Amino acid sequence: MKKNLDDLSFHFRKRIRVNWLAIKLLTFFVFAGTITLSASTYSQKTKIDLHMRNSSLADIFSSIEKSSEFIFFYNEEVVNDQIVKSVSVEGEKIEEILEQLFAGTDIAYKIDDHQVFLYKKDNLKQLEQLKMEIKIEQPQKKQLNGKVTDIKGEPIPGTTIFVKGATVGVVSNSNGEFILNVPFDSKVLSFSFVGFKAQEIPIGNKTYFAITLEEETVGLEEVVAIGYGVQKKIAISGAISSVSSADIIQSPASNVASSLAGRVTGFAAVQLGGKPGDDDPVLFIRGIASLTQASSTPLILVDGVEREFNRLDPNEIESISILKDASSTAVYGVRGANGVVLVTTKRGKSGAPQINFTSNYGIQKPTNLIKFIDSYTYATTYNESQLNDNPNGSVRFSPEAIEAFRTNSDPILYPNTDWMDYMLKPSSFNLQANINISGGNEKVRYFVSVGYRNEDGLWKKLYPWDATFWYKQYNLRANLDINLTKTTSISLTTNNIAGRQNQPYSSQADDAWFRAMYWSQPYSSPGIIDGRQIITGSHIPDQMKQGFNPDYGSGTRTTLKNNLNFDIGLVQKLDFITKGLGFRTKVAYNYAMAQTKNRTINVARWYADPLYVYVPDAPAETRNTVVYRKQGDDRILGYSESNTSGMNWYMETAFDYNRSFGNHNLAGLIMYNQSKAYYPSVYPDIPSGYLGFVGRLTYNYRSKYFIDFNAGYNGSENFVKGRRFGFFPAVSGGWIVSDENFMKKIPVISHLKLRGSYGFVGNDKIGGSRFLFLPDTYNGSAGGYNFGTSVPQNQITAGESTIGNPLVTWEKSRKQNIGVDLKFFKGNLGISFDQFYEYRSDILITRNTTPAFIPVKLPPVNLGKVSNRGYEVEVEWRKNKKEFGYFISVNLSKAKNKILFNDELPQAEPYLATTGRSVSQTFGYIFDGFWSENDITNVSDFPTHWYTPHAGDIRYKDLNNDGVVNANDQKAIGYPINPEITGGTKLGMNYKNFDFFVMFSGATRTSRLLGGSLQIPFSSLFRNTAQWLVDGRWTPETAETATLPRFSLNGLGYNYATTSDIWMRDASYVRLKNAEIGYSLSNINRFSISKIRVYVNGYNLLTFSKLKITDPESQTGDRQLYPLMQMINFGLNITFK
Amino acid sequence: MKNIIICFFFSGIVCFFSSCAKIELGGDFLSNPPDMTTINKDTVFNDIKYAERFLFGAYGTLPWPIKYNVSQYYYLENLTDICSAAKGLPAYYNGTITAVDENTGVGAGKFNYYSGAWGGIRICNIFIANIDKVPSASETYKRQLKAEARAIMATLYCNLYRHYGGIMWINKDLPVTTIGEFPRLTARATMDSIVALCDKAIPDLPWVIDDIINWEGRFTKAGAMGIKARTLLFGASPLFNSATPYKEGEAATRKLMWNGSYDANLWIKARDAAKELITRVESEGGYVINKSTGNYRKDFQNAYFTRGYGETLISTRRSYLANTSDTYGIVWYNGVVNYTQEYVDMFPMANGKPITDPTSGYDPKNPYVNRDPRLYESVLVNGDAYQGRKAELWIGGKERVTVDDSPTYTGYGPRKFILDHDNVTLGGAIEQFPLLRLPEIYLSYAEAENEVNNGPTAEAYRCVNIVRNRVGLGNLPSGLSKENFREAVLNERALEFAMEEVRWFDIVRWKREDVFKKQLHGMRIYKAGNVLTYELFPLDVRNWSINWNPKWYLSAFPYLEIQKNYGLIQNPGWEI
Repeated sequence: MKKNLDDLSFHFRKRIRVNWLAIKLLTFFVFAGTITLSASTYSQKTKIDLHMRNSSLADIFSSIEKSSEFIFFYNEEVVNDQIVKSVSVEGEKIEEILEQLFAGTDIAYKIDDHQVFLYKKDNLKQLEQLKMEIKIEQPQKKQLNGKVTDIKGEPIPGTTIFVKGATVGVVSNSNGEFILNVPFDSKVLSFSFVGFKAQEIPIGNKTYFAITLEEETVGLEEVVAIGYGVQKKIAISGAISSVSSADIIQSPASNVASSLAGRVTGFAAVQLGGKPGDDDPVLFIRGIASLTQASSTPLILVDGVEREFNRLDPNEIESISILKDASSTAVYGVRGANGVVLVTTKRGKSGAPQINFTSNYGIQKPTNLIKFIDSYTYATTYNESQLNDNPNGSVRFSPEAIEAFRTNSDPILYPNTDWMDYMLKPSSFNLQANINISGGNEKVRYFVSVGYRNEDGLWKKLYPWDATFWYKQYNLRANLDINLTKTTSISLTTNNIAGRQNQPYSSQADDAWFRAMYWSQPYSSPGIIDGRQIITGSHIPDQMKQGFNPDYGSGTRTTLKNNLNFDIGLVQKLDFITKGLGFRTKVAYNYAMAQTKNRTINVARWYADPLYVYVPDAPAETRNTVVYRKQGDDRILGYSESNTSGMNWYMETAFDYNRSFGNHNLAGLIMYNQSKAYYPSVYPDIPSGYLGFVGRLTYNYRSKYFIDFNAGYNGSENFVKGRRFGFFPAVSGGWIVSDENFMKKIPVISHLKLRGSYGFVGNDKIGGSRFLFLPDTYNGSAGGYNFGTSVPQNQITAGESTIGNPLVTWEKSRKQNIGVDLKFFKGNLGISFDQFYEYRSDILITRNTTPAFIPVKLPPVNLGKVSNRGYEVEVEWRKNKKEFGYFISVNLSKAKNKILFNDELPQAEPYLATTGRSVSQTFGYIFDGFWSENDITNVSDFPTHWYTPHAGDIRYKDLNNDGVVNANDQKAIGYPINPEITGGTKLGMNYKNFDFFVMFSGATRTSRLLGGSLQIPFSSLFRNTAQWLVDGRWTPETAETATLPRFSLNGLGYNYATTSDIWMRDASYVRLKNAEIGYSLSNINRFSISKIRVYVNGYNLLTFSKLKITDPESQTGDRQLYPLMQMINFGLNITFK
Repeated sequence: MKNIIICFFFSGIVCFFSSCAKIELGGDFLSNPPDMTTINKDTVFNDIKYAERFLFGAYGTLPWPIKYNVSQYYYLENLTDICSAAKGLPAYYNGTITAVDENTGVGAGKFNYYSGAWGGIRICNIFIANIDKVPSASETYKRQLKAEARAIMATLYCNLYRHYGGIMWINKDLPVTTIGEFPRLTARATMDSIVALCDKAIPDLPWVIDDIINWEGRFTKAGAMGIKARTLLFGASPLFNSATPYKEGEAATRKLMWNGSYDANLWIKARDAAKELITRVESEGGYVINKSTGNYRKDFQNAYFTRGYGETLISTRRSYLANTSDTYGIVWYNGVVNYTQEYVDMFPMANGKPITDPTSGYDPKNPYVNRDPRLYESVLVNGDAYQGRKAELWIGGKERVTVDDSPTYTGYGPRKFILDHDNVTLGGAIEQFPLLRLPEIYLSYAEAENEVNNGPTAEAYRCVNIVRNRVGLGNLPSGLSKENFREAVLNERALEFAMEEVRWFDIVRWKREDVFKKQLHGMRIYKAGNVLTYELFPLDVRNWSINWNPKWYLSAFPYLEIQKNYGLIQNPGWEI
């Protein structure tokens, strides 16, 4: 009854004004006309629910005051306890209630915004008196003001500030500022905000309060997204890592998954390439537990629905949860075995509109480009190879050519083109911008975001048409939550991602471009001269490969991809049935299309021959005159296009229950969901579907002892009717030991929690096939055979086609996890540790024991078994002071798998067995030195190899000592491509207006087997050769120091193209993945700006690895992808109030 | 008011659903597989058209020896003394090949006939087990089809027998899940089984294909009789038919790779099988060996190359036209096959006299004139007509640009099957591979007759001379001893069947360690002005020539097959 009016009106005026700004901006972006917030008075827009029976008027008024901002002013003589009324209204205006209440009484009312004056009918004097009293009250108060910020100096809007022991209070505005009139006798001000430690400050004589709130270290109230819901972090007993919005935005990586690498435990992202718009890494949660990489990929859900993830604008993401153990993934049942990535997008919160603008501009360049040899080196080492094979034989490059290459005297006839240098720019730019608005009130909350990304590629523009790489992306999101009634709300989620990708036209797989450059000899062409593609002529023996090959210069290709997502959800509280019960349902729709436009063209190629080819006896001085010979014709740009599209929808409907009975807290969930995807790649005419039931029951006592049951009951169409449904249960428990009395005696430990989980999940990924249970089929036109003497047409043949396995079923995964969370020193030091074991069985394999005399394409059977075990540890130290704060955190994850059964036959030597080794283990020969001249003369002292050795050739180890080096002498070499151990270190600090952050990420127990151009000189006899092969090769002079065998064309297969440990390289690395320095200015009371931050950040800035030849994350075979990039960005972030 | 909103909302959701799909909940929601409109075993054997197609699929599994692996050098001839691969067959020439190498199919291992042969045998078994179900086809025709399947099976088993000795006998349509014991039959039982299979097939097969224009290439009585004769000759030969095994081992104890004793009757059986075929050919016609037109070279070319010519008893034909870039083409020309000097020297002069005979007229300074016409049709020799000019095989010549030019590094190029290797002769030619030709039966008969009678009979001479006369060579000198006659027959077979996979089995079944141990040579021809000089040079030493082991007579079973525990016992010398 004594709320301070001025404070409140200040607050509300402000809100109304800003609302108008929000509406303008919203209209500007998308939502023209869909949100109309009225600026009418409080009484006009406030609707009240009230159910009271036989209560005094005073009680009714105080109840209204509690649930709204209305304040009643009256004299006791007018309203007394004798008047007892019942009232039951829902969503009614205050007038309606008052009319009801005062019907038949002599009470009149006057409403002025949120003040309600009651007086005796016709006694206007009484009314005036009441109004006077309020004004008289004013001088008895004093005005306090101040500002609330966090440790970094960021304002905390929405902080509740009130006088202790009184009801006088305000909420801080978007700048964290507040003005509060308090009675003179007020003693203590209390400041509180969710997630921060509350503070109580004596008022004394102060009138200005600069308050810094510290974050609540234990994070009791922090919630984490879990499968089909959220859970307080404190209550989680499974294994879940989560990343917040701020972390994701901090990384300038161009895809979301890469920005997670190194930040969380149990999650690995291996980025193999950096093509603009197409650089998604390979993801694994706790490594690989099936027999193939393809069957081990996690389920990725955005807002609970399987959809595009990597191309989201990081500014749209609220959080990402990585669900790792059985208890967190059991609800996904048959699809949960490989872990789940849950992405939650941002939604509006009640409050004044926040407008946030971010833009950064950066330059990027490859982390590492492979170096290839120049023309002179090529010619001399090629000749060397030939002479090594036959000292008396002929050589490919004449002394004249070698001299021309050495002196670079004739760049047209004897070119020396560094193809990467010729075709690539040293760096390219990228631009990213996002503006988003969020806010709302009790009824409607909105988050609207528009993002733009422009990534330029490395290609130079060598042609009139745009045969370069670039990528542009437009993100648009509008998330809207509407409270229809006090118990009903709906949420709408719309998202559109439009991407336009350009690249040179290619008739081959997209990654052929770098391969073409790797294969091109430096002498094959001087490049483009006067618009002509020049190719070196027949004076150098044939087999030219230019960077243009196979079809650079044959046009351009643009791919337009559009990805539309739409969700509508409804939540209905069912407290009227039983308290704590709720119903929700959601329907999601996704549509994706891609349109590829090819503009193809042919250009003439010009062979540059010296004149003497045509006129052998031309005068000496004219011999090297260039004669251009045209091949093919220039054509005009053609056009063709192709389209693909896909559509799917998802529906879920659920009952939630959440209630506390004293110290017993109980929650439950029952859900039914189903999804359908149209136009799948196999049997596109038959949509593929999933359906499942989800059940969850969680219980805790005093928030100290926790137990959760999770289960999924799922059906998958991949299995035969009657065997389609599986039940996947999991149980987990937690104990907050630190809440026990005996632990309170150890003050150093502020938090100790033990967690454990055990359960079963499934995996129905079966190598991209569908309906493997189908019976055997025959092929009615399998091939042809030609009878007769003169009948050109073949007779059609028929044959067995596929053999079915009606009993095929899903992979079963049994997972266990134990974890400890510890906090020391009032939460400054935090340690979290998880240990897991997974046993995967029923993995689809084909039998190896089937005899050769049953020569059929064997059906997959559920026989494989793999175990996977590992641990995760995270240590964090955090210290926050007013002007200076810092934190350092280190995380480490290990996952190591082992094949337990894959129907392997006993091998001739135990070390040949794949059983007991990691999935995808490489086997190869062991390098045992190079043959010396002396060894060759005593060749019979050594094991026999399959190749007659010469000095400088590799000698392989005879592992079984049988005197012969053969297939039985290959053993496991190297670690898997996907690292067994990954980790990261984050270090951040802030001082006054500066903030600074670095993150290192690293991986070890990972190897790369060099292949293709990185392994084989003159591969396929003529391809270009990596510099490192030349540098390391054996020659009689370098016999002592050589690391690689001699160059020899006959010995290429034996020395270079044989898998041996000489090509297996440790690809461990430590990377300065991310660094950022920023400067912020807040309290800028101009242009409605509340904060400006400028920053510089970088990505992949430094790499430390033993693998120097190429980037340690990249692929090392011939199918080279676009290289990985490093970036430096300059950014600006503005928050408007 | 708000209730209306909620109702509206719910009906919206329901509409949304209905527009997406029928409202299906629970198990009905999951998609069902497509209706089985695809073909299965029942539909194939419900229609003679499909059943025939299925059998034609079996024909497609007949060996195609000249196309094993386009990028490698795995030609059986390259293991013999008549050919050498330019880049070598490393695992063979240096002797490092093991049973483990056989695990991985053709190329990495030897030839892996073991894994390759079963596909066709399975088709035949399925066919034989199901053909009787086919309605609306005459019993006679079904019997003929079944006989064709048996003949194909016999051909495939005969190859397994010649490469491995005794083999497990699969004569059922085995389900995929089969486990159990499938031991090798003894060598003798394997031979008997193949012969029985032929005997079962022969009565139901036509003697000749009536409509050769449309159907030549399907099995005939003559083809099945030929396989029977080929099998019996191999079984009668000393490799298996001997008092002692060629090498001791478990397989020898169990008589899996020899007959267990010498049995002279086997030679009689071999002779009779060949004789029966020859007698019928000579009385009934349909096949002919001496179609001499006077153009001996052309005659010989037609004999192996031309469909419907009358000499071929069994042929494989995977397509209609020869493909210059594949089948008979560049790949083969690229040094996959290089004839040795030893082979060239085996060819007599056109007058029939061996070049070692001083009266033969052989001129070492002009070695390629007036020779057996089959030399020119098998081997590309210097100075012979080639692509409308003369072949230049001297170093620096068109066919041998450098001394190491792989297609001709022995001084000789391939001619048989690839002709002039141009569009005039090869391009557009109708192809076949002669799996069995009548001359082989004549020579097998002569060989067996010589063994049975402890010396050549007139009939034996007659049969060899028919083959020689066809290319204008005179008769063999009379009065040859048993050994000399045998040698003459084996020599004749080498000359006749280059690249037809006859030589390897001849030197194996006669346990010709001496042939394995030969130091082979190539020829370097130098040209100075118009003077050619000839320089013999040794080819790389093959490991078995210095480090002999009789294990080479038979192939190794893939190591992993032994490990599958169905009772396979490895051939001696290949155990690990």
